[in-house]
Amino acid sequence: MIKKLFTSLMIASSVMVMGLYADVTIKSHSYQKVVKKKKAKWVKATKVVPGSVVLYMNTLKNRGKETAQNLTVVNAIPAHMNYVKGTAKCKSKCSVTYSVDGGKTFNKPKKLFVKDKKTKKMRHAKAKEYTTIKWVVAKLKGGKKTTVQYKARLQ
Amino acid sequence: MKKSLVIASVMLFGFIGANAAMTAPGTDINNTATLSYDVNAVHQTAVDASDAGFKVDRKIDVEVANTDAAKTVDVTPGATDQNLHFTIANKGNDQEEYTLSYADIASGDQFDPTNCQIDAGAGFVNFTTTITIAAETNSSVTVQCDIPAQGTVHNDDNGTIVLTATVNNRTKANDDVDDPAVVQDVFADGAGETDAVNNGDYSDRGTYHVVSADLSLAKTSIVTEDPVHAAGGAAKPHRIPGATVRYCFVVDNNGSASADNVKIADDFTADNKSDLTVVKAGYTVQPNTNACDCTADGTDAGVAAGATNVEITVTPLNAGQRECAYIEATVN
Repeated sequence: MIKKLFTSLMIASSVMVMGLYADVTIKSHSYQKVVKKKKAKWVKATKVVPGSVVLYMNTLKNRGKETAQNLTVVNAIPAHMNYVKGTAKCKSKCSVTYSVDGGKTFNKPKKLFVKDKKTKKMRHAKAKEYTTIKWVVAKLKGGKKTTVQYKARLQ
Repeated sequence: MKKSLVIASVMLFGFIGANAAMTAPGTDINNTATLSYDVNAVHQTAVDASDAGFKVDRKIDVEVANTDAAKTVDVTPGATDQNLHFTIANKGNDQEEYTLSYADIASGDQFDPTNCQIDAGAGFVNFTTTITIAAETNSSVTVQCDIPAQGTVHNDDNGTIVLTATVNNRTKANDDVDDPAVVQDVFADGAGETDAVNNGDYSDRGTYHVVSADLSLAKTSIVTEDPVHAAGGAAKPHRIPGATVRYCFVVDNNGSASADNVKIADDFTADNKSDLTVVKAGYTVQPNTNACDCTADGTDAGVAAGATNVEITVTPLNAGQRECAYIEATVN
C-alpha cells in the first residue's frame, strides 16, 4: 500500500516537473504598414481607419526545456475586422483551419459554407466571413519560439 | 448513403452577419488569442494573450463629382440660371461638415460664368456655403451661373468652374505622432481637379459649353436679261433700263445651333435702288457645302411685286445649312 502511494507520488511529481519544463507563453501584437519615402514598414497599429489592414502576430515561446506538442492557437477575429484571404501563416510547420460559426467548428476554406442572406442558399464562405482562426503547431522545442499570424481589414 | 453522410459531416455551416459598414471612430479593437498545448501527451492549462489594442481613428475622405455628361452642359449666349450638377460624397466614418466654394478655372477656357450660386439642399445661395453629410452617404448640389451675352462669348466657347468641398473643424493628425488611445483625424482624400491628396478637400470641374448659331451673309447681284439680250442667250445681258437684275444672298449657319426667324431685309427706297422695281423673291435651303444657284427660283418668299421693303424670312436655319435667297427686280 505504501509502495503504491509512493509510486503515485513519484508519477505526479514527474508530470509537474515536466510541466514546468515546457512552459509555453503567448503574446499578441498588432501592426500596420506605413509607407514613408516610398519605403514600407510594419509599425505598431495606432492610426487605424476603415480600410486599414492590421497584421496580428501571436508569438509562442517555450521557456522550459521539454518539447511542447500540439500547440493550438485559437484567435477570434476581432469585431469590425475582416480576415484577409490567405494571410494566416505560421513560422513553423502547422495546420490552419477556420471557423464561420464563432469557433464552434473549424475546417479548411473549401469546406466552409454560409447561408446567403439574399438567396437563402448555402454557398462557400468568403474570407471576410471567417470568425475564428486556429493554428496547430506540431511541436515547439524547449527554449524556442515561433509565431502564427494573420491580417485583417478594418470595416 | 454513406458517402453523403461523410460529405455532410465535413461541411461546416455558418450564417453571415449584417452588411459591413465603416467602423465608427472611437471603437476599441482588441485581439485575443488562446493557446493550449500538450507535454508528453498531458494537456496543459490554456493561456490567453491580448494585444494592446487601438481606437479606430476618424477617416476624413471626401469626393466631389460632376454628374453631367462629360462634365459639360450646353448653353446659349446670354442664358441665365444654367445648372451644373455635382455630388459630394462623405467616404469617411463620421459625419462631416464641408465648406463648398467655387473658382473660375485659371486657364484653358474662353469665358468666366457670372453670378454663380449654389443649392446644397436649402435653395440657391451665394458662395460660399456649408453642407453636413453623414458618414458613407452623399448629397447632390447644383451650381447655377449666368452666361455672358453673344459677342462676349461665341459658339463653341467653354467656361469652366471648379467646385471644392473642404472639411471643417478637423485637424490633420501628425504623421509622426500616433496615439492608440485617442481618436485622431486621418485625412484620406484623393487628389481632385485642383487639390492635393490627404488635405481634407476635393474638387471637380464643370463646364458651360456655348452652343449658338453663327451666321454669315454675302450679297452679290447678277443681270439675267435685258431688252436686247434674252435670258439664256449667248450674249451677256447688261444693266440697262428694262434689264432684269437678281440680288443674291448667301446666309450660312456655321454654328452648332439652329437659328430661328432668319430674316433678310432690303430697303429698295435707299441706296439709289428706287430706280428698281421689285418683281419677286425666293429662297432655297441646302447644305452649306453646296454652291448657290442664284437663277433658281426655289420657294416663293411671298413678296409682292412693287414692294419697297423686302423681307425674306427662313425658320429654322439649322447648323450646317445654307440659305440661298434672291430678290429679282427690273431696272426702270
